[in-house]
Amino acid sequence: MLAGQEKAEVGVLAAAEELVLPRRPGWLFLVGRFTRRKPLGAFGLAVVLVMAAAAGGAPWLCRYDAEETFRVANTDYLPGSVQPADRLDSRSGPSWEHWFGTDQFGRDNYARVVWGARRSLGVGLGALLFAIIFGTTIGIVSAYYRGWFDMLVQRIMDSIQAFPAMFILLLLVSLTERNLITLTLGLGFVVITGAQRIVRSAVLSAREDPHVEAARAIGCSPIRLMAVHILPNVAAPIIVIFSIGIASVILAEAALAFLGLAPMEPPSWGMMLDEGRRYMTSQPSTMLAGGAAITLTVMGFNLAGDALRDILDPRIRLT
Amino acid sequence: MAESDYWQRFWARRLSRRRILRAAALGGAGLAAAAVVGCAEEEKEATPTAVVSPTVSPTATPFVYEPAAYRGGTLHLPGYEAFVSDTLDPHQTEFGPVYSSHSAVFSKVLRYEDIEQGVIVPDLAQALPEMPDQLTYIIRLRPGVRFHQPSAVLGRSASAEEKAVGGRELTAEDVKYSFERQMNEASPRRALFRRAHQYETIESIKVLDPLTLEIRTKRPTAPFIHFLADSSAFIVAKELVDGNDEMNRPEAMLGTGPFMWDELKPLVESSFVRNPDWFGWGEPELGRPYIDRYKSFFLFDDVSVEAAFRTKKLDVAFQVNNPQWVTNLRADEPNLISVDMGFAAWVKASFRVDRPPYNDIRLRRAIHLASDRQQMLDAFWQGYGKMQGPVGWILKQWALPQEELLKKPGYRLSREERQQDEQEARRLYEAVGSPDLKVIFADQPAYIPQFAPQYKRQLEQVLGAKVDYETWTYAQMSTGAIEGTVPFGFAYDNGWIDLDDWLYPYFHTGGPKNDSGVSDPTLDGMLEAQREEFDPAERQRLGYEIQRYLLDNVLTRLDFVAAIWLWVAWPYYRNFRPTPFFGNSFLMANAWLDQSQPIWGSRP
Repeated sequence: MLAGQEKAEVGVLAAAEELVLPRRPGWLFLVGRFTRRKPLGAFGLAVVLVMAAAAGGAPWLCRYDAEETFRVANTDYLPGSVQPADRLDSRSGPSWEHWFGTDQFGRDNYARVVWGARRSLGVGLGALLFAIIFGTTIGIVSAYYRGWFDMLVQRIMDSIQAFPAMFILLLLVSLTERNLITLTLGLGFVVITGAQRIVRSAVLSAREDPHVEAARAIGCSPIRLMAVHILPNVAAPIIVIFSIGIASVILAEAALAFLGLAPMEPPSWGMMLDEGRRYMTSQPSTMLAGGAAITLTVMGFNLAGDALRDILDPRIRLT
Repeated sequence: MAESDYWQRFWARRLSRRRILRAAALGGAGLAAAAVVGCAEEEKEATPTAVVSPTVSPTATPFVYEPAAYRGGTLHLPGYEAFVSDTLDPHQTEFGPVYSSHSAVFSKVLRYEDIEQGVIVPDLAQALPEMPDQLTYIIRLRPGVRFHQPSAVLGRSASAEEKAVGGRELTAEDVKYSFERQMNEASPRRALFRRAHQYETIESIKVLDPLTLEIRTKRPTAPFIHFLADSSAFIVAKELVDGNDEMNRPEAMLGTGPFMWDELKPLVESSFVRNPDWFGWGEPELGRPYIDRYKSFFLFDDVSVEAAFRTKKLDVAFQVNNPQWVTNLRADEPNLISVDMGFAAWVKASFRVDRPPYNDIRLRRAIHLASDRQQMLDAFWQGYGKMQGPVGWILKQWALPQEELLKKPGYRLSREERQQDEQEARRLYEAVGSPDLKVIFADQPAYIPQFAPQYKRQLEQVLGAKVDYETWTYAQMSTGAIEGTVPFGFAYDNGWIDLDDWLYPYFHTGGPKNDSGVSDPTLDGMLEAQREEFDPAERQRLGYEIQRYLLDNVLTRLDFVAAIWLWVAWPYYRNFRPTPFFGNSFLMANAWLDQSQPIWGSRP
């Protein structure tokens, strides 16, 4: 009886152990499941990863520097004449030497696309980090304290948002020195208003949750409440803002570069688009290379962002 | 290269019996004018005559215009007239497209009939100035020249300016005022009269009667005839200048030229309408201008220009910086009028030499040698252009011959010589202590700032220098140049017609464009000597000497490259005549649209 009872207890314990401590799925399984459920999102994520790899591995992925120029023999050259012996290999089509052709200054388009990823992603990440840090802080504090403080902060944000983002950006780049830091901060600045609004609405709901009430009841300070008990509960919208917002920032950076209002170095896809469009009827490779890089990256971030939103939003997830 | 082919085709196509007769007539007129200059006291010409300026020697047959078979219509051109980067004031702007607009609206005492051949003819004057001696110029103006009254043509109410001056007859007082305005040292806008140096030579201006004035110069001034026809010589009415000595407003654009100012839509288009009361250069019976209006569309990229031209929204076009579409189009459309013409505007760098580090000529020479001009030529215009010395190559009379220029360090093309130049550049740079360099690039045309990383790389690779750069607007560059805040600038400049314009204002101690702060008594003496030399051959020799001196001993301005523009026009655009300089839109008075051409029907 005892032995049987022991056996039964052991069996129950084992079953309970299995029930309580299921095996965590491996990352490969998660990736597979994500790919099956969200194939477009997976494609977007793959594009983003490729671009991130290009940005990080540019020195190893390119045979040439982004600013290196190439020359070819001048076929009209006659020894002793005043013709140059060689000329710039500009606006050439794709070849084995230059996979995406060359631009007007004889630079390798492939190298400029790969090095351009560093600038686009760098500026995008930098601007979004800046916007998220400030937007989240403003949103949480504003929603937590509510009352006149919330009213004041939100009206200031409304006033800023009343101006078109591109107008603010053009103003900023006109008034400040053209470098990547000011460009990144400027792009981040125009995202802050939207980001803080989304975070604020999430916090307005989260601050009423029972666990926040409980924490307040045991005497947690407002800073601890906001940082430890509220912030983790609004992480999902922040991630979504990040993934979708970065696409807009990359696009805005390309637009500024296209307009000639961004720094000339390092290479920018928007700049390639601008330079390439000037001779797109005779040699479209520069414009296509820059345009394709922008399109793919923005599409990648948007698809990945949509998929993340679907996964992280409980309302959508349940349906 | 393509240039010589062009001239062969050009003259082969244009030579006809009528042309030869007309050319002979014009040549005869030129000889007569030369006689007038020499024997002014005995004869007084009542009819317009031409003179070959003492500044330029003729080398080819002059252009001959066809009489119009059709009148009316609007001519559509690409251009930068709608981009007013500094001011609308005709005496203060130094921006070529702006004085292109002025040249249609305002008249001068004389004008260039053929810039390349240096043919100067009367504009407001009845004839070329009489010269009793080398210091005195007697100018007789045409009677009945009246200021514009655009309200009557455009059907809108007259502005206060038009009420003040519209329809008034132009007199010698207007001419006197227009020159004295630029000589006025007490003007609050003194620094902005950037071609004031041309009038410094004037000692006195006397109005002898309402249509005659006498100008006396302090010293013999060979290019004075040219000054009277140059881009700052517009005659304006005193009533149009405000208390701050400015006429920087569209309402003040009331002149006596063949076209009247209609509308300026900034960065979109600029429109000019026919002046029905124009004096017609002594041939009012021709009824010029033949067209009713012309519009200049601000199109700043090749793709837009090509699309607009192919669809005939433009009647004429040229490449912005991609000549390939023009050459392709010429192959597609063999009936197009095609002209390849060098343009005087050029790309240059300039230094502020009254302070370190650029006061050391070794550093300037190092940068001069390190700058790869051939790369610029290829990058800017795919090789369609030429190396530029201190005087524009287009002025074959004055510029150092390309054969000589291309043997000079900094211009040499062979690999071995280029390597020698680069090694010497490095040696000189290290000898001056390898200072950091900062280059300020103008933001227009677009290929200038786009070239910035390339130029930085050139200097870094050749000199081993640490190079930084910034981009400034054209207006910032102009102001900075006057204020001396551009130690090392890289920009585009308009280009000029006469030897004196290329050198004196930039390099003379008191020159108004001497933004470098150069002050060299030897150079000043040479510049003054060429001004006083009336013999073209001797003046050419002096000009060559100055250019060699500049390249060997001064180098405050590094002249890089200038473009060859590939023009195309639809065959219905008659009397199409591109010029190598800004400021010749008065020639549009001869343009007409041939509606008998089959292709005319497809024009929108």
